Amino acid sequence: MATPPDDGTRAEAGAGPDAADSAPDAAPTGPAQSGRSAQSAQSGQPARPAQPAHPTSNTEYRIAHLGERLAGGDLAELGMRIESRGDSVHITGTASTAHDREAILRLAAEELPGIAVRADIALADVTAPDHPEDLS
Amino acid sequence: MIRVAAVGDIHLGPDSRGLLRPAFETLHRQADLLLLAGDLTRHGTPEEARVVADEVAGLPVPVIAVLGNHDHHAEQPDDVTDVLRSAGVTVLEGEGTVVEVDGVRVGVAGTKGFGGGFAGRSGSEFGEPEMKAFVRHTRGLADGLRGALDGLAADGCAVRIALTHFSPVPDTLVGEPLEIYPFLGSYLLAEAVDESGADLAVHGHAHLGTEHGITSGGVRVRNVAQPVIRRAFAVYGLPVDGSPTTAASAA
Repeated sequence: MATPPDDGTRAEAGAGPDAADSAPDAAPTGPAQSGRSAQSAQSGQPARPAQPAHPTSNTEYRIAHLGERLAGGDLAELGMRIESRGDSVHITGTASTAHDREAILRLAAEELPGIAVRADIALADVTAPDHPEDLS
Repeated sequence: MIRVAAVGDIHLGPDSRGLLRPAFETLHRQADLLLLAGDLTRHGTPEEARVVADEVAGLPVPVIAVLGNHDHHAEQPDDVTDVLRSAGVTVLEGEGTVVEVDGVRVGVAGTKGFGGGFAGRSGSEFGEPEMKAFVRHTRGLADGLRGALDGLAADGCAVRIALTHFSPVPDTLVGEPLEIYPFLGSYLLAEAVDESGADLAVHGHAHLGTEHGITSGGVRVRNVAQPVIRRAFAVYGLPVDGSPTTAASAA
């Protein structure tokens, strides 16, 4: 399990029940508006080659599609854990940079419109260690 | 004591240039060598490899690497290897290299490794050609690791380290979903390590895993995926008793 971040990295993406009240465009969408456009102008991510004939509103499959999109796009991100939690989706992992974390949240919002996305995405720590582990 | 620095899964690309260099420049104060446990790039392009090469070029310690699955994605692993080697990195696949540290011969045997699962819960060379090829790929790489470790023992190395990208044990995968363990490593790697003997096995690949593990033969395993160690690298101190490790003494 990824260690929960302790650096204030908790973030939300997409529209939760509260956000939906004040952000009409983020209200839940039907199957034809599942946010899986051929090319995302916002993210610059290429679409997956095969657009499904019947875009799904099923959260489980949309989570799977988000996983595929994170892996197949510019991010090449396979290290996020994306799971359904009640009415929301929880994303856990470590991003290399703040830019990557923003891109992950943006893709999640695109792929899961109308679903509250709660994210605990830590940033990779690139500092040197302060002590070794001696294996005696 | 031999001080081994290690990190994997740094996933560098043009937008992360220079990210790790400040930490790497402290290596001479705390380590004798640096191991890179694969997934050094995002997509395995030569351009991304150049970012990695620049990050480690000219460091005052030897840098030894294996490639990971990301480094194969663009299907240019030879080009990626060439770029890394041009910066002085020793890139291993089914082979070993020896570093002298204060007169002690330290051997590192490396392979990317592959999946298949762990004892009692693993794939077999059976059925469709794709399935057989999957398991044979892992077996071939594990055989390469075994041969490399044997070669280092014959070469008189007092300390031997197995460097892989995929995991040899399930211990260091704890935290990952159980369902994907077969895609994260293989017992064939651990079997090779235990049969040949080693003082330490280092791997990456499992971002949500755990740092500490051990093979059934008693060889310490460390998952150094950067999201796991949460530093630019980890450092492990290995004692030197002056006698080459064997399968029996390692256990």
